[in-house]
Amino acid sequence: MIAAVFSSSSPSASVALLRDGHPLGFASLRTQNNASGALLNNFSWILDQLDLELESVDLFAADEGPGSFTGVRVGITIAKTFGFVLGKPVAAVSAFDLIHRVRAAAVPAKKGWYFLRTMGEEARMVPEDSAALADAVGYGAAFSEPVYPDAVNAASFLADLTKIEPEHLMPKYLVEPNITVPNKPFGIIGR
Amino acid sequence: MNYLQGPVIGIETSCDETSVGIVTGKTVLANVISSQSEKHREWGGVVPEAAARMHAELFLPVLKSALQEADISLHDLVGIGVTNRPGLVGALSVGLSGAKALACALKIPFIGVNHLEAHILSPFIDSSFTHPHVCLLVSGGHTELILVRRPGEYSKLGGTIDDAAGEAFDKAARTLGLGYPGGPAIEKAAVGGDPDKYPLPRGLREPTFDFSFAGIKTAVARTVEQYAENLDISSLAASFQTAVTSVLAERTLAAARESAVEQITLVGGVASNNELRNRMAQLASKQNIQVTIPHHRLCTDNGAMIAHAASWRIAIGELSSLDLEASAKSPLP
Repeated sequence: MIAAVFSSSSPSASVALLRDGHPLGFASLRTQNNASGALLNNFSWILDQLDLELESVDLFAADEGPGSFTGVRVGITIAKTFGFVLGKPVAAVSAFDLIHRVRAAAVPAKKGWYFLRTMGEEARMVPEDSAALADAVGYGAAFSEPVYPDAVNAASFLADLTKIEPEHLMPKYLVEPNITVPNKPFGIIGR
Repeated sequence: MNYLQGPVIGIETSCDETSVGIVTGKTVLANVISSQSEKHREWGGVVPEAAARMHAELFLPVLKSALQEADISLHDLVGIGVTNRPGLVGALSVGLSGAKALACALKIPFIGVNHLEAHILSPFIDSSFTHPHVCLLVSGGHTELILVRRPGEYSKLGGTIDDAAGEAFDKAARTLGLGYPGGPAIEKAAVGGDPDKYPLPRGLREPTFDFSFAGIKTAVARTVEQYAENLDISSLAASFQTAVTSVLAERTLAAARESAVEQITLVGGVASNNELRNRMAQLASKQNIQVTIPHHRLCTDNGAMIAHAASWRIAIGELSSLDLEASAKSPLP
């Protein structure tokens, strides 16, 4: 089985093509505003290098987060669109797993806070000065040697992914959008 | 206008409408619009992150519905257009990512479309007319008077110096407790009201082709304070609607006279307002100026207008690459 994995939840957009859990080709690129371009240009390049057609991919997987909301949606939308057009299943991959499957992994949440996932536990928010981050790998200001989610890391657990229909592939949001309801300074009495 | 031969798909996710349209030249095969306004109503306006989340959820279902409505397969498509500017970047990124993936998978050309140009060209979909003409583009995010010499050749004659007209409708409706979106809410509340009961300012005085709606909006708020429980909401809604639509119509006609053109187009979401449509038509007929207004479904943000603009742009040899980015602001081409 050939799988394509896309990750753009962090400043590093990465894509990997895997066959039965072994990397065939992979690439990553630091990008600010064009994760879709980075993912698709690199993906096309990998397919060309391997002389493979897009149709030979059996599964499209994408980083479901946590991470940049916009970045996560880019990878998810690309994977689900490929799955829809080609009639192939898709799968969600955790950003924590793409950082490290076993070690504690952390990604930036709101300012001064991190999402931390330790093995066997649900992700939780911790402050940036939390001692728990000392044993973790991840990225953000708390990490002097950042480790970003990397699509190629899915090779080790590809068989564990749950295949779903493209329409059901969605980002996994750990927080609600920050909404400030506008004031109604001249609201009418009794209405 | 020349068009690409065959069905072109257009994807629109710039604000709070997820839409996919399919056209062949000027023929609309499908125009599926999923509006999020019900969801944003409780917040009193569009919340960018919430809009982007809903686009991600709705993109494939809307795409499927459009293909079904057009009764074609993905593999019948010959081109792809997608709004990539201007708009909410998070929202635009969903449509742009989907469009790029479609282009890669189907191996067909795609192009990023300027949302404003798609609105300007929308009257061409169901009408035929000559050039040049003056276009009033009026929506929640834009209020601009544009001289359209021909498709692709535009000169801005004027625009709002503060709120867009649609934004003023939203804010006035909120002040009156009428809900969101403000345009339809004000229009509905104004029925039966006396438009002369509460005199409101008209903003900037001519000679200018610019607009200012902040003063009208503030005057509405002061009127609400002044009359409190004795306020006739219907009449204040009617007065506000008259103030805004009369300025829009009169200034557009003045721009047409100044530019020596005999045709006007009215596009954008606020072009759905019946008071504006009627006022513009009445004023124009007295001056022998022809007014063209697209169907309501082509006034709101929609995928068909994006597909239409893309079909023309691709036909004249323009293409985008996978490096195309979403942009919050963008002037007309």
